[in-house]
Amino acid sequence: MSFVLRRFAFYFVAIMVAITFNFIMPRMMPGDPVDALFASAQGRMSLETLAAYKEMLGFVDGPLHEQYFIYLKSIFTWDLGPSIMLYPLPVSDLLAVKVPWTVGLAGMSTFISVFIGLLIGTYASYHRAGFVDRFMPGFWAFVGAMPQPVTALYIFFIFALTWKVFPLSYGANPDIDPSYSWEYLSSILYHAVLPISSMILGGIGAWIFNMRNAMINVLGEDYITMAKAKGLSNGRIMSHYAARNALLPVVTAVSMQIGFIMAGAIFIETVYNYPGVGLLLFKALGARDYPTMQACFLLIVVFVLVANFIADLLNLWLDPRLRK
Amino acid sequence: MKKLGLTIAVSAIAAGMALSAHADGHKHAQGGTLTVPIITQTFVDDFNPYTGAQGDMVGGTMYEPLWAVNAMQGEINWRLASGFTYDDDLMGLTIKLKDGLTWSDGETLDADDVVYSLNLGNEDAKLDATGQWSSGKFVSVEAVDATTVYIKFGAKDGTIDWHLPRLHVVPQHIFSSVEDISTFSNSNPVGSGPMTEVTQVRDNQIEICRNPNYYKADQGLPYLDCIKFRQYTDNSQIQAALINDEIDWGSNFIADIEKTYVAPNPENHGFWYPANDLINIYLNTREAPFSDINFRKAFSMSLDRPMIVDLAAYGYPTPESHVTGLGEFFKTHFNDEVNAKYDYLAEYNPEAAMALLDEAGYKDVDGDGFLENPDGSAINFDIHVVNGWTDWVQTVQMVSEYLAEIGIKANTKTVDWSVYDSALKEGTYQASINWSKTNAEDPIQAYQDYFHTSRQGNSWHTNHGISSPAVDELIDEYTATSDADRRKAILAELMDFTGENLAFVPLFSNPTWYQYNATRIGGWPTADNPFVQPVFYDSSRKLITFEQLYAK
Repeated sequence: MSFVLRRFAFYFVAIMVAITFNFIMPRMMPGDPVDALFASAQGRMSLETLAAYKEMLGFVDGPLHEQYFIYLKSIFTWDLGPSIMLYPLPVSDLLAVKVPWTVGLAGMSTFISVFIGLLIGTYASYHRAGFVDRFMPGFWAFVGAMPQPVTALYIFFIFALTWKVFPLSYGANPDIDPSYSWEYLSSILYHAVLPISSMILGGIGAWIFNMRNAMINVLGEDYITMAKAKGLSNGRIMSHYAARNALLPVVTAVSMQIGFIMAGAIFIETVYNYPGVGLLLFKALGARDYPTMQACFLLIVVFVLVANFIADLLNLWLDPRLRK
Repeated sequence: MKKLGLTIAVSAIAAGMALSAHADGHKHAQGGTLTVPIITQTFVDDFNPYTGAQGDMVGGTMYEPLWAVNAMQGEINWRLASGFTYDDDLMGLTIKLKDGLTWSDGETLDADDVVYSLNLGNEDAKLDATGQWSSGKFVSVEAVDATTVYIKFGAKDGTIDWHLPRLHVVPQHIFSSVEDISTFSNSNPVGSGPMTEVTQVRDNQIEICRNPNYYKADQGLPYLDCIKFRQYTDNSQIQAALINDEIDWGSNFIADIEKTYVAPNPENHGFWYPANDLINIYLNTREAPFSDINFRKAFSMSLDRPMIVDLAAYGYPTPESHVTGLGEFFKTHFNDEVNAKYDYLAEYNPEAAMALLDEAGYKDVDGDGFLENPDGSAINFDIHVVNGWTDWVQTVQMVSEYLAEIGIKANTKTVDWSVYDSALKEGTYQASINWSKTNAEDPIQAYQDYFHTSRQGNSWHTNHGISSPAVDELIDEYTATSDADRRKAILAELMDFTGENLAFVPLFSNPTWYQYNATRIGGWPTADNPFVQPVFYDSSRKLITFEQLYAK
């Protein structure tokens, strides 16, 4: 129990540090968002409109420490203020629409790539020097070494633009009413195929390597020899004796990866115009939309920390030594 | 001959039917949906014309303007109003509305609605769509009768009609009960335009459909039933959607358009990039070497404009061949006599440029291959351009190379917008590339923006160090007269002043980005049928374009 409490306290401090950074960073950048908005309009906006915008968005300068406390209060009351690029839409409303798509995209692709990666890794380690062991890790490492945006653009170009077998953009067909009907759900799945595939291609190699290497270490242990000596079946040794122990470092690696997966989501969502947080963050950066940016950063930090916390709990369950 | 006679007879009949028939003599069946892209993160349920949250969906569709200015045809397209007249002393304007106008909910649209909409700007500066209250031009607005509105001015002005198309005429019976108009979402819009009924609002698609009480319904307008707006986050997605026939009307930069868009379907995929505003390099004439008119002339003569357009901007812009301040957009206002005096300055002539510099005393004293000022100090200046505006960065790089060829050392300096913005406004730049106000309602607005001292510090284009009280007076006189001949004479003087002083070096006219997809929709403006400059982001021009579109 004290382990859980200690971890919890650690994560709380980490979040507070993240919030503070989150507050300071955008304010140190040059330029203000209304000017950026004006620049993006390239002369289509009159100076009078610009002045009105500044007033409307409350760009009045107060002392920094006051701004900080207002910021803290707004975070804990989930009142994130209005978005600047989509004024006067509240950021919290915006995120409520975007978060499910990203959680779905990142969650599904992580789950699939971890699952397939672990299977291949386990199989490869158990059949050393076989075809899978020789071919798979190298091949997927090669695929994964390509920058993710490039992979995504290739897939987009071939399957969506040239062959037209998958859609160009959106999370679902905009002509279909959102509901729990099969028509809508299948449209979501259809639209998710390319983004999820692009994410899997980039990440799966790491899982194969992680699992294979962890398994090879474990397979050399005495208790595996012992299990073999007891005459247990290969499948049982693989899943119950070796894999469970090999999973320990892998679980930690998964939780470490969440941050990278979110970074990947930014590229993938941008390429496929997928309505998630990654794309929102990317555009908010360009528009200097501080409220939206800060909310996205914060959300990603919370994602990563929560994932780490869950990994800690999982390790606790997998590894009895931690429970002392 | 017989054929010609017949044509004349037919056009006479067509003219007689002008009220019920279409401008090009065709009448099209109603139906169909136009799909257009909008660049945004997400759509929202907001159709308030004043917040500008989704102005591109509201303007030209839901709220009909009083009239629309069609600069390409040099004419006024009458909408809610049937005409206006200035008082003889130019101290007021009378607007006459059409009879029998209604809102989409069936209520009567009359002078009271127009007066109410105008007065909103008086009460709250944020709602001052025409900008004429904050400038002090409007003093009062009143309804003379049900279809007549009178605006009283604070000073003589014959240019107010340019600004009134920007007015959103909103229904008094809806807006008067709204507590705070600047935050009102107007999710059930009641309007007067061709499309008012919102049938679908999703984060990536909004559909608006036909106004059941449109005042032009007896002419069969609008031909189209609905407009579907689709959300995209950048140009590259729109390019893909255009190629795959998902959208009908693009207003975006498309790389290598002939190959990627037109070639796969030349019958239906087309584009037309008519000239828009003029792009200039502004020179700060307060400091050497720009303080010398001969240097500025040599600068202008050293540039091969068609080559810059081809290499730095994919050949889409129109190279400028005059230096008198206006671009192709206002070619109907060109004054050939004045232009002829200065056109040699826009021609690529490095020898003449070098000769001019040599004559003016610019010599390479220290032998580094670059010229020095007549007083011996080195010439080395920066040309500002905003970081990331790639076509302009390439343009400026080419300009620097051309300058190097005649022995002038210039550097391309990419800066952040805020630096660029304040340097231009405060006149602390050396040289800087920027657009100009050469695509508005009237050419005088360009000269006002170039030279009028009241614009110094507010505009990017005024603080180059050249101004004169005489020019200020000329500009003021122009706005305070309605005499067409006098206006023409004033413009000629201003053009002459511009060419003589060369405070900026014109490069090319920006293109109007416009792609059309005729697979499903017909009636598009094209180079062969240039009935309007096809600007989607301008309510008036969008409306004039939209009115001609029909489903095939």
